[in-house]
Amino acid sequence: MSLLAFKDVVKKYDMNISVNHLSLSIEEGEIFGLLGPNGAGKSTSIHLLAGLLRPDSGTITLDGFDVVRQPRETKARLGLVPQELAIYESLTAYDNVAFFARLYGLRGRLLKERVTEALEFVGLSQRAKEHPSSYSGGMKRRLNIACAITHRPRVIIMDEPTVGIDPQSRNHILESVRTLNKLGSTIIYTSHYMEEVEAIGTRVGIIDQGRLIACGTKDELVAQSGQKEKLVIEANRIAEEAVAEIQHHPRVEAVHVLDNNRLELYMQEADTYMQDILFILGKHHMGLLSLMRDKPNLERLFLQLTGRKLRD
Amino acid sequence: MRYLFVSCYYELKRILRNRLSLLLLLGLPLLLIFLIGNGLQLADAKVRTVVYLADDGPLAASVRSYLEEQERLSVHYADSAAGVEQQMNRQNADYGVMIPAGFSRSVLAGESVQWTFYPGQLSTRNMTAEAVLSGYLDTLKQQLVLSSTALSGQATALPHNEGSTEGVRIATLASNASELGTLSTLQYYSAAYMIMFLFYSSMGTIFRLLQERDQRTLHRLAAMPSPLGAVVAGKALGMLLFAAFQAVIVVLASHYLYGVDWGGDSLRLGVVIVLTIASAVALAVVVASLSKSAKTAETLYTLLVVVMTFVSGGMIADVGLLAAAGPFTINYWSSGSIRMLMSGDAAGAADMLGGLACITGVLLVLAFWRMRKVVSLT
Repeated sequence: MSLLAFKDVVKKYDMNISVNHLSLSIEEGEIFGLLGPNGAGKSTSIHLLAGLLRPDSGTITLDGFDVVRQPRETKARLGLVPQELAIYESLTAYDNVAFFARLYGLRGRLLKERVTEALEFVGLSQRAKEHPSSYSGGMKRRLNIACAITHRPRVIIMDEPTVGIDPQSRNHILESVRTLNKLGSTIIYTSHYMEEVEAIGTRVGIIDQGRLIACGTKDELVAQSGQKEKLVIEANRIAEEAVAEIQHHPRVEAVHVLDNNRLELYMQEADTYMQDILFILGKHHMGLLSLMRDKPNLERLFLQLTGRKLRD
Repeated sequence: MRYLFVSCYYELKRILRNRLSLLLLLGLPLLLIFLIGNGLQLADAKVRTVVYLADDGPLAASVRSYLEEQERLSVHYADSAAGVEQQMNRQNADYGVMIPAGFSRSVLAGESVQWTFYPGQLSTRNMTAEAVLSGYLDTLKQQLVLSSTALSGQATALPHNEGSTEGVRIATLASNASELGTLSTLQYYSAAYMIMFLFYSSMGTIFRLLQERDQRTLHRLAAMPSPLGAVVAGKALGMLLFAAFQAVIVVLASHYLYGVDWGGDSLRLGVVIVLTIASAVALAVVVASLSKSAKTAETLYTLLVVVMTFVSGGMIADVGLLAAAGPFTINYWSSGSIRMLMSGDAAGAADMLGGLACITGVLLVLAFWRMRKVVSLT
């Protein structure tokens, strides 16, 4: 049984359908990247899972518990890192983490241990007694994460946790996500940065207009989409015989001569059959000057599926 | 219950760690009570008036007699005009007047004559002195043959008529007996300002809830296994405790530092404070539910509190026609209850308390109805 499952979930606001018969399952140990353009239904789906909204129909289960009927059980297994900095500027970092930890039911020695551990985990233990107002944006983001992990949740929802921070803090957060995952938490990660999802996501779901329009590992999605790798070859000359031979290669879809020195071709399984192309070039005395590979990626897939860029 | 106390504890921590707000909420009411209460008592104090009476004619005695009878003036005499100026320059007097030689003769001869006034630095005291001195001259004008060309300070007349100078009054920040009853200005304004600041301290948590909603902290709280209602109630409890603490500080400090007598009925005073806090919280909830942002709510509420305090006579006792609107404010009933307790009028206090309880009840019902809107996550 999946750790987390949406079954035919519908959520409407007035006449607008925000989540449209969404079915999705996430297995234990995954880092699930949830992608979608603005207004696609990502946040609503997350709010439904966190018990902040009630679905109009369908069911959501977490670890076998129904989110609507057994909210305490599901919420105790969940850690939410909101996109906004949901922390208190008037409390110290320690008190922030301790406050939320107490509301998760931690007390006494265990509370102190977990708070210290969480602050160490996000690299803020040295500045635990300071107020967040003295922190950089990245440090506040890390504190935002620390507040959600003291109870060691089985599922952590991270809603765009790297918005507006420096690359160093972003790397720290991404590394933290991997570590949390290794420690046993299943992660649901939304981001406007496709490269983040590509880098850490074990599986990706693309949601648009409230529907899950694609789901799988990155390779599966790329394969499903039928995208081909693009190669741009620059040589000292273009031999027509070479172009004709490349066109006949069974893995090559199309070849275009761009100018006297450049050739563009689309092919499948380029990693394996690249050497064939290089052999043909050599055979027809074309001196290779440069080779540029444009691999299929999620960004292109996203554009293909939704007609929009992720950051639109 | 555990979540309620956790939330209450951290809310108190948040309030107490904000030193500026703490200073404002605890220090400012005491400072205002001190300044305004004492300021008005100062306005009530006698105006030190130095007089050089150069005239030795038949009216001189009546002038002396008139001046010495004035309760608002403390009169002493100089032996020359230069002496008056000297006293004024040294600030030994608040106001000076020189009555020229031949005043009696000129008046009785129907000739024009002029008193020379030496105003001091305090305008309210100048007004008082001028009002009293003009009173003497006006009386002369009314009762005797007058010279229509006389300037202010010129007169032809007989001795003043006793009692005709009554009615001198300071119009601003009135502290006359009819407005204050038997209370001192310190008592009057202690009650008014404590109520006003209870409103301010009671609004914080409610408007912070709006901020938490906007910043999604409320979403995080709602995504936890602890019931959101208990967490919100804990925050409100923290605020109630702080407001009650503020009231205790104001009552004790004003009593021991300024000698304000709050009456002997601590229990009823406590009830007034609790009802006021409850109504202030309820009002804040209603205002918050009608506002789009925390900032709008705070501005609206602050304005409302200032208007209520003013209309109920909390800033100046005599608000003229606006006094009719006083009973429609919470401050009117809260301050009124406290003033009745201060003056020992148990029956009056009970009536005012009843009114306050009714208003609080209605506001609480409205607040419960509107609270959902304040903590709504959508």
